[in-house]
Amino acid sequence: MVNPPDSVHARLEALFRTYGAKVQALLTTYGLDKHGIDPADVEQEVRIRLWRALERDRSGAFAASYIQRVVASTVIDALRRAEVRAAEPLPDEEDEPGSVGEDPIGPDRRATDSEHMQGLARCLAEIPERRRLPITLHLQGFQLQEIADLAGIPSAEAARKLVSRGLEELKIRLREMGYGEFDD
Amino acid sequence: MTDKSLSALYRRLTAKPAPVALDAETLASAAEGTLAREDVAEVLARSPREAALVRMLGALKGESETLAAGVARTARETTHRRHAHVERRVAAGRRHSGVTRWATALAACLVAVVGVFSLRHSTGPTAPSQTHSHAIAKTDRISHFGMETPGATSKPDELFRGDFSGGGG
Repeated sequence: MVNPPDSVHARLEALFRTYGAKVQALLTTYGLDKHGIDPADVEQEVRIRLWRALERDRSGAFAASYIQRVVASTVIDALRRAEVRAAEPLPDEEDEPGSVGEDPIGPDRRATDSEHMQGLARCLAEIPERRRLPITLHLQGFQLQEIADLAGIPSAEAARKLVSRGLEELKIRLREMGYGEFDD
Repeated sequence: MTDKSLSALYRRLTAKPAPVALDAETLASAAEGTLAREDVAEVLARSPREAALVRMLGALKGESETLAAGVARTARETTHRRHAHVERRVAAGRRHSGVTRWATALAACLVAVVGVFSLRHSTGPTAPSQTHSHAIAKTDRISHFGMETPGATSKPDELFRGDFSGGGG
């Protein structure tokens, strides 16, 4: 006969294992593993914290938002530990989460890149604040609905218009300043 | 191409080592879409690391809801099982208390019967002795002092009789 508490423990363990695997995969997908943190360590820490929380409150009243906060705080702690260690230099950012295999940047290209970055910073500074925020959020990888939610824009459609116009304006300015054509 | 992608260029521009500026609560709220604060949005726009975390939390939202539901379901089943166990024990206790109640009532009846029986038996023999003592008490005289004439009708006990009418009596 199966002992009920063992059965419950095994079921919870299975739930946490599935969730932990997803956390680990997403940490890699979103490039957080390139900031000096180990996704496996974070995943394990998340599971430990969730177990402890469950042991503290045996009612099992776990809200999804609480779980999200546990993940967020675990990742932040890992990032802060990585900052303290500062063992390796920060990696170059990739285009999209999970995109790998791009060529390493050489010295010449690095110089051009630096010039382009300065140009981009100048052009962005010239764009009015109201339009700059949606553009920068878009360039940081946020979706239109997320931009609308974060910047307090009434709808995703309104955010799309602001981003679209802003990007056009940015590209025109960069072209006029002699930096050439750019993709989104 | 990396050098012609505005997103890649912007992320390289903002990828400066800086301490994590936002706390877990703020980042989780931002990922839930329940936080529309310009200062937070600006930090996220400037920090690829925090932005990546918020986007990751957004992607994890469904999994977190699934986990929360799974844990709640497991906890509910455990609680239900525990309640059923407690109910079984309470029901057994109730049955046991019913038997006790019957036994107590039976014992009380027995005591009552014995009590009545012993009362009946104790009142029978005492009656004659009471009559006898009553007869003895009747003959008691306190203040005759041997002055009555023999044959005179005996009067009831008189401790004191004062007659100030002057006549004999």
